[in-house]
Amino acid sequence: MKPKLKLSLLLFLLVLLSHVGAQAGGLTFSEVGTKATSLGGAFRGLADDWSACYWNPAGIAYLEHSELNITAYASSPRPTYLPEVFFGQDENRYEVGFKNGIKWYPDDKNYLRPNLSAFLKLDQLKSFTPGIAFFIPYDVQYAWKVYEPPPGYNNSVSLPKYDHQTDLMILDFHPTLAKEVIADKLSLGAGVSIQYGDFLLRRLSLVPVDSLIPRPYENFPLDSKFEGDGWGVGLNIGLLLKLTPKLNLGVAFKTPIDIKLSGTTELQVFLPENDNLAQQVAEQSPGLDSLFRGGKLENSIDDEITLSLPADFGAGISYQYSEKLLLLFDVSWVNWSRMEELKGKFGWNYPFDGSLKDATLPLKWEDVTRFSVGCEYKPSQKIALRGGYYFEPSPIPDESFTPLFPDIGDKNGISLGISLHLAPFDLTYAYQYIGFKEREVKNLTDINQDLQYDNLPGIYRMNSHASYFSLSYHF
Amino acid sequence: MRADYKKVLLIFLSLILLLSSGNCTKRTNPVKQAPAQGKVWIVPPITSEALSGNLIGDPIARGIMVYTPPGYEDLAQARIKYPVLFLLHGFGGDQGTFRNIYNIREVADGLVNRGEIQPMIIVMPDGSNQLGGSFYVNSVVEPITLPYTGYYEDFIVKDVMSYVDKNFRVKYNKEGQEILKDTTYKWNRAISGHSMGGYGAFKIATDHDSLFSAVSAMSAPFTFEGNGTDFYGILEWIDGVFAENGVTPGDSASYAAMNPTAGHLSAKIFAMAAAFSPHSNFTGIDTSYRFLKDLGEGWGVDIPIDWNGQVVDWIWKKWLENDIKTKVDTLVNRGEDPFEEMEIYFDCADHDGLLLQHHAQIFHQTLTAYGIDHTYYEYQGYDNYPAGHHNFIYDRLAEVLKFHSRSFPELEEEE
Repeated sequence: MKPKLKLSLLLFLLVLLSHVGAQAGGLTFSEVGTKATSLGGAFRGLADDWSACYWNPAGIAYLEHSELNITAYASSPRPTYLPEVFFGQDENRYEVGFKNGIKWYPDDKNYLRPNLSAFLKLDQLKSFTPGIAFFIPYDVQYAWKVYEPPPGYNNSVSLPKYDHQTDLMILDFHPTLAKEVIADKLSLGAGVSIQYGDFLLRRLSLVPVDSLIPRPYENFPLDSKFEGDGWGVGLNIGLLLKLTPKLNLGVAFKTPIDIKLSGTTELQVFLPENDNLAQQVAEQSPGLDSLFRGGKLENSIDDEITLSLPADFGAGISYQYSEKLLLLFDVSWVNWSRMEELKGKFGWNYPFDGSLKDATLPLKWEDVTRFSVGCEYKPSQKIALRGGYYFEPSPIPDESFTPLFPDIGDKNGISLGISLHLAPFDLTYAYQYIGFKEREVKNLTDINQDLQYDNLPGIYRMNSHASYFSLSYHF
Repeated sequence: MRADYKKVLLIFLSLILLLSSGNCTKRTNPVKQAPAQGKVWIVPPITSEALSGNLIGDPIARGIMVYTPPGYEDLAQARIKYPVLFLLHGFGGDQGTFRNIYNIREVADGLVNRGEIQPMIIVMPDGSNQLGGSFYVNSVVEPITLPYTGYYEDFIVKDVMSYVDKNFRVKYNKEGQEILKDTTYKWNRAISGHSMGGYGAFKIATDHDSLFSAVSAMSAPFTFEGNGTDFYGILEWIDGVFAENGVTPGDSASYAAMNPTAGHLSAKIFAMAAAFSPHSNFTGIDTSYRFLKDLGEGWGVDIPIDWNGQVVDWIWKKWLENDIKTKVDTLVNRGEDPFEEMEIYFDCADHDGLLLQHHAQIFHQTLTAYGIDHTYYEYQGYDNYPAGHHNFIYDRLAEVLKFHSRSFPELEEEE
């Protein structure tokens, strides 16, 4: 294939990919691999360290030595939420207990997470390179307190410490096998994602009671908390084509993964305490007066939720501009639209009439496309300096946006990195800053018309800092 | 050059340690301070001269609830005197309704603490009687001038006001300020109410315009007759009253068996009859429309509708003497200002179950036609929770308090 034709084919592929989806991110703001991070994630066309098992497993075939790697990274996402949650419109809008007009933070955390990997380059294995890695592809933890019952609601029982809480960690045990199919020309790789998920999701919603009940008692706060874990399996495959001595093309695909989480859903309805109102209700609807005497209704059920994680298709090129300078570009498409909803197996009972309600949280996420560029400069054989940038929209529409998954908006990720080659070690560092475009969610939306709003209006802001360290041992 | 394994490992572990300790700082959410609280005083029943001798035998000692704002009991603020709002409850309620159902303390405290209203005293008297509500009028058996349910208007403007003036730090006009007529009350007195209480507020304010500088009402019946073309005021309820009592128009027997316990509209019509048209045993009075004969030792009430559903003019005339719109029409036609130097506010829900939004609309049109400055607001609910007769009072109270706060002179220490 002539170089011009190859380049045309490459450009065509990239343009095609850029139109596949509307927008990438969602359940994590950290990357896999220190070097890949420092290159802004533009790594599919290079894929020359252990993290290739995530980005493009074909790259593993070109590892020169057996390798052990340990990575530790720390990330500090910092979302902010200014609630503007009212029921009604314009001048007829009413406070319902959300702590509007005040900037709130979640329980800020700094995460320290490990990645581990081992790959073998043995003569006995000929052109095959096997290995296994452990990493954390998805990881979000936020706990917010943005609601308290309106003045006068007078519940005698304290609400939970947090009313909106997400604690999701997906652990990926990733055996990988790569083969150099055509020496110095083409390699193929494949991996199995054996994922373990641990998920806690808590949210507070308002349950309408009856139009005859006066404010502020017309909605009861319902705290619903799911906590469960489970397993899922997926595959990823990739190819790495050395088009010219200077130009590489990498293409990789990850299958979608469904993680079936089994656990418990706990429901608590916090009842108002107003004996006078209870007396009035007793006269009209005997038996229902107990709903206005404080305390809470609670229920705990075994439950199952399927977490539908996205497929990912990406391509990247690396171009050795000079002996010291390497340029990289990636584009990838993530089909977040699989995150249609979080649907519990069971529903919950409506407190006023006992009828069974669906317990679905509509998400309606959208597919996204991510663009990444990176460069590496090697002033000497021992040092490599790296920089990268990526742009990625948020997959979450306004209609389902809440602080639970604060992927606020268009993300601009900027990263810097350095590697020291101290044979037989590589010591690598990367720093990444992600700036998010502010999001203002304006209107409450009830996507599935279940009388519970699925988003929380207000102004959301966020940024995130992360640092990565890797120690690789080659043998 | 081969690296020193231990050194490399040490460097790596040190960097990890640095990583774990040197992250972004944890941010702190604002801590909510316990809000300053006012108090609702539960005043033991006071004996009312105005209610004494009522023919239906209701108690003449009545409780009052009085809200005082945050700081009222602080010694450091003992010289501050406050304007007063008289807040009248609706049909079926009592002096505790605004406290017990509509959270007046929480609403007023929130507004005071946020600086949205000036601190004020809110007086909530008892306007109930055994028929469900007094409509805050002097219920007079004519022509012998006996109190049927009692003189509730007098109870408010005499007994309650004098008790509050004596027992709470209420504000009087400062020396040198223009005083209308012979009162010192006006500029720091206002009156408001919900439903029957809103009616009572406008009735009392127009009867005693020297006592109040502002009047307001939430969902009140302003016009018994409506506009006479497509809305007929209180008369719109008559079909409902007949239905509640199983009365077939023309059937005098079923008509004669009507009673106030048949339903909520019947209860209101009977209470209004007790307020506006109590029956007189005086010789020569037609007894065809007389009900509740056993109440009050054979006196009873006259209902202004006959068994055909037609208006009985001589009884209806008594009702219209108590109608707010009729009174405004009469005073204006006489060249008088019904609301002399008084600020006016009223509102109503767009889905009021008693159709009172039409009352308010007609009254709004009337005042506008007469050039009487006022504010009318028709409010809406939200999805699946329409605004009805009483379910948004929690919110409307806030608007009413803001209106009255603006109408009062600014608060200052008084010698």
